[in-house]
Amino acid sequence: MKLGNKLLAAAAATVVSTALAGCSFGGSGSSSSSAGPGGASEIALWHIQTTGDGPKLIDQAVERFKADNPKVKVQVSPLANDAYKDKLKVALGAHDAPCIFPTWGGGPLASYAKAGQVLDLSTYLAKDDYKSRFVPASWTNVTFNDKVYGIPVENSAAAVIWYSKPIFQKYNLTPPTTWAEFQQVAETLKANGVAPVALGNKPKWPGIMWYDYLVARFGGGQAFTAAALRTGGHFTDEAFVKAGDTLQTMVDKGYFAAGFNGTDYDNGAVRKLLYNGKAAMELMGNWEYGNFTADKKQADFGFFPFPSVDGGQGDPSELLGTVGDNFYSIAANCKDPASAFKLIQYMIDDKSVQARVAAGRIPPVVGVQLTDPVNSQLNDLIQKAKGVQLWWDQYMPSEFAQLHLNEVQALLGKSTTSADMAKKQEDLANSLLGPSS
Amino acid sequence: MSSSIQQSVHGAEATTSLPPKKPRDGRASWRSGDRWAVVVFLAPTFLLLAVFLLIPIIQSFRLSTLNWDGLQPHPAAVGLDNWKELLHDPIFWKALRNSAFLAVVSVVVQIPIGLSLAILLDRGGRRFRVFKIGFFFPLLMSSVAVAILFQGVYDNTFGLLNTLLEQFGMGNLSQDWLGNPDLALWSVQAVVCWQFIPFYMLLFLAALQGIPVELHEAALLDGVSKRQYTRLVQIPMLRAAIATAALLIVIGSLKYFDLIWVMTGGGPEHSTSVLATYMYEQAFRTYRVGYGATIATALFIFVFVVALLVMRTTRQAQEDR
Repeated sequence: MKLGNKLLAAAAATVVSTALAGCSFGGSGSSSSSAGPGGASEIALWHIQTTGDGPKLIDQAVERFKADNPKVKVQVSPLANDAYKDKLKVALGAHDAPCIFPTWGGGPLASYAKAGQVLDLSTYLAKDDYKSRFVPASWTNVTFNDKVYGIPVENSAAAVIWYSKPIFQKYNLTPPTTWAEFQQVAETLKANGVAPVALGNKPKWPGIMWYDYLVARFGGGQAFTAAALRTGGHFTDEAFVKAGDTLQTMVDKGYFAAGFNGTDYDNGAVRKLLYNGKAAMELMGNWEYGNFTADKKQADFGFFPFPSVDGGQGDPSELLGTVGDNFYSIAANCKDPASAFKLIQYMIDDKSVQARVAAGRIPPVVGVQLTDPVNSQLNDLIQKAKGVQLWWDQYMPSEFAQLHLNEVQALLGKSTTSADMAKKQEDLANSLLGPSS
Repeated sequence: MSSSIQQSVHGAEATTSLPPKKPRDGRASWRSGDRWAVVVFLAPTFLLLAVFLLIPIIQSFRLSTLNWDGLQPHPAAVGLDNWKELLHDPIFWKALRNSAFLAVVSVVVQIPIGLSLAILLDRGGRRFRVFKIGFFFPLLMSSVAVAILFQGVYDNTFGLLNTLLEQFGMGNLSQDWLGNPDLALWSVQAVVCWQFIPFYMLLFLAALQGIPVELHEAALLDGVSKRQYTRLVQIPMLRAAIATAALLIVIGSLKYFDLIWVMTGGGPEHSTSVLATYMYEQAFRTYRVGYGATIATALFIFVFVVALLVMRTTRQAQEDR
């Protein structure tokens, strides 16, 4: 064997072994933000504002920040909503997260905080009493152990029941406030061949809105939080079983437009039912109004809060939704968190608030003036609500969320009972979060 | 590390069929220098395979022994707990059954139809070119586009299928194609066949055109009818292509993901879950990365074993000829 061959072999062996070494489990990865020479730093910003005016809202704020802070480089990456959760999780797991990234608060953000992946922003917020700029309810879902891990920026959302005005007019119906009235409306619609409720439950989260709201109406907001936080409540409590039974009664009576478990909310199938007069109502977040507007159908739709139920403990003003999401957090590996925080402030300064209002949103700041009548009606609802419960699938650990989503779909498909479902959820809550006492 | 290099060399020898004996044409036999050239040329491929294939497979087996949410820096080792859970997980078994269903029905439906179309197109020659192009279309579409297209076709209220049924007075046959757990898997299966039959049609067509013209002429001289020619000449000549198609279909079905994920998300109630969608659900929706890796490893083992079996039986069949 010649010397040259030996060298080649050695080189090949080295290449292979370094490649193997570079693949070690959970490698440290590279940080997305690095301090360059001369105090210049680079901040990576991820966002998921990719529809409508979203990209413009972010870019305008970033441009203003850059003009005032020429030494800081900002790298903006818009990402598609669907894949974002997975991408973020992978990036955080690999210690490769961007400086600034959005979340929906709740359980996932709590788990990032627990793993030490996001910064506690309390000290920044205390400065100049910056925190008081925001609606108090907006901090609920980003505060864990009295530490704040995200800034509310984008929008406030709550689920309400949207109804088709022309259909209600045609059959002389008025928005119901109690469950009995709701049933009357539904029966009238059914008698006229209109499905009372459109539901696109292929993605599973539209269906849980019904269950979660019914629990809140039967047992009040505390029924859920006491079970979720394991402070004496149980997922087998009466409110949960009653909610499940009520939902199955709705299915039995044919209140939901047929095919709901295979109908895909995400491809607009639900709105198609509403626009064509095949269905009259939809329980959905107020982003649906943005969709109506984009489809030039906004004049045809109004909304009413989820009705109260007979003998329910819940306050009918309680809402299911979220105030201020997306929330922007700063990754623990960010090299220049002070600049990152400043950049977030630009995203929700007065100019940004105005731009968001103009884009039909409800920014989570105190005293915001809204131009759109439906939005300001909704904002009133949010301001007056006794409580705004974050969507359960965002609030709970993802394993529970997935079970909940699957179980409600099965409940609607009538392949489980509310008691069985309640027991499964309680069992999982016990094993994930411990016994409730 | 040198031992793995050594192994790769042996592997290379085994697969590239180096002449074992001294060739008769007078060229020099393999000198050691050539041997090292082999190493150098194969090293990049081996490297890529190692980094993107071998190591991930080993890693996912390692992950399957952890209870990891994808985030905690120090995941807890749980030994074989994930595997024990897998054995008692009804949804896993359902997904496995669905995957097997997909594989079996695909073989039974796609190969005969693909073969028939190929034979028809072959007989038709140039005159049938327009059909060839038409049949080829589904293959050009991405799975996601196909999934969304068929969501529309299956739509309960506005879908093409139910509308047609009603138009032709068969409204009582209209169904909740994707929302009914008893039907959803069949609905998905139909689309999978629609999507992949063209591929196998093309594969068989290429194989048909590889049959020597002399055989056709000889058969004609012997007074063989078209049907007899197909049965006695064409199909036996296609045996290798059919075996390849079966292998591709079985492996493809076992790891199938994209169309199902977009069209039904594995639902309703896991009625259309297959191994890959359930793996994704566990790893990236429930964030049980360890358990997801367990499913992935189980999937790998199934595909590996099934591929070995199919290859062995087809090789056997070919040797028996």
